[in-house]
Amino acid sequence: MKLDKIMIVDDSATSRMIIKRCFQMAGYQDSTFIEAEDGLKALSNLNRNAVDLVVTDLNMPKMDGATFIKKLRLIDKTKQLPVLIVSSMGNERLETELEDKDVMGILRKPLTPEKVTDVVGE
Amino acid sequence: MRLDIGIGEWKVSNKADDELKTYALGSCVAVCAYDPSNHVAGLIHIALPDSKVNSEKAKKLPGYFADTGLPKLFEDMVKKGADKKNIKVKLAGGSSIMDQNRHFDIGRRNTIAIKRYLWKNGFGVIKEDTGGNSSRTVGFKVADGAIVVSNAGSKWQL
Amino acid sequence: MREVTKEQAKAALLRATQNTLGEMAFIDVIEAEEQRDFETGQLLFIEFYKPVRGRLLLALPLEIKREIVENIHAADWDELSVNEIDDCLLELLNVLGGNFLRELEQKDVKVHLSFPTVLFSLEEIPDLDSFWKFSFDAEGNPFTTSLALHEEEA
Repeated sequence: MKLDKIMIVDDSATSRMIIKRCFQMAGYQDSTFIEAEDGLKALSNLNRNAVDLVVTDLNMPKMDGATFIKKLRLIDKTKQLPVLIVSSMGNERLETELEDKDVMGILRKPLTPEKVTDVVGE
Repeated sequence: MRLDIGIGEWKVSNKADDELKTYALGSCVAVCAYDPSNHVAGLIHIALPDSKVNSEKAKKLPGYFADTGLPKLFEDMVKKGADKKNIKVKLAGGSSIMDQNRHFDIGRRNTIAIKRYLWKNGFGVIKEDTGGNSSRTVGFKVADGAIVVSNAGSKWQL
Repeated sequence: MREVTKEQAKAALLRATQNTLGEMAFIDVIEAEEQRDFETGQLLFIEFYKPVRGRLLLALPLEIKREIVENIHAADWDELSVNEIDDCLLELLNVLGGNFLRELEQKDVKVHLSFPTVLFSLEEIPDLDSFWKFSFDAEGNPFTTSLALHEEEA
């Protein structure tokens, strides 16, 4: 999967660092990473920047991940943007709520390069 | 050519018709590292996590321990033309076997120590087949990086 | 609320701790054979509301705190800011909390956790006596996790 620009949305700087590193180790060492600490900041950033993939946490202050994804789908530019959820709270109900063809998957924390590879391929 | 790798040894090749092979892993772990752009493959058969338990042995056989063996493996891969930033790692082995005092699981501790070194040095494990109770044999083709893991009954791609 | 026994809670917490510290901080955790005293270098606290209500307290000696942070950040302690260190430990507890609840239920469930916090003293928890305390061993260093589960309010 070709991913030149990847946006990472998570309130924890440590988690953003781990996600970035896992993608780099899974083969995206030359991609550009854009970081946002909540859904609101991510939305305003996406207004200015086009990305190939959004990786988002769910449990965040200001705007949580589920609301953020719903908002993304209301905007023309990001309607079909691929989204990957990385969270410590993966659950079945949420998966059906987010049954959205452009949500590539819900990966459970701790994230590893192997989990990234499972979703995006070798 | 088939290159056999014993416990505590490692081999690196950039010859397309070579296959790196190691047998009967048990709680040992085979670290298979590959640079797909330059077709350089390296395999090390690690027995224990930390050289602190026997520094004499680590001098003679650095590949026996994760902390002394892994730097050697990557050093040799770079010498044979690998680019560090392209290297991807797969792990096999690390069966669940308790230490002498039946205190901790050596296979799991090996796997964790290897991942610790790799993470700290910017190498990612993109696939693993570790844990459980089987004794694994690993074949690793230099041409395309394909890895086949087998045990008494069956074989599968990693 | 279904009854959770101390044994069930302990088993779930051990698996969650092994998974979280192993995969995230690359430290192997086992159950401690005996309770050993240590000087606490860090207290971390999180509350959870779903699928059960409770609180989890993690007490780490300085050696483990340092190793966790250095391993996750792949950096030396001296290179890291206080913010980076705190954020790292809080994220670890957040992941541990989610993993624990899933291990307790043995399946994917709707999980609701508070944002984790750093405590400065155990006195901040008035009813500490009501917690179950479990001793673990991180490659030779002792640490404890304490857990309180509460009846769901009607």
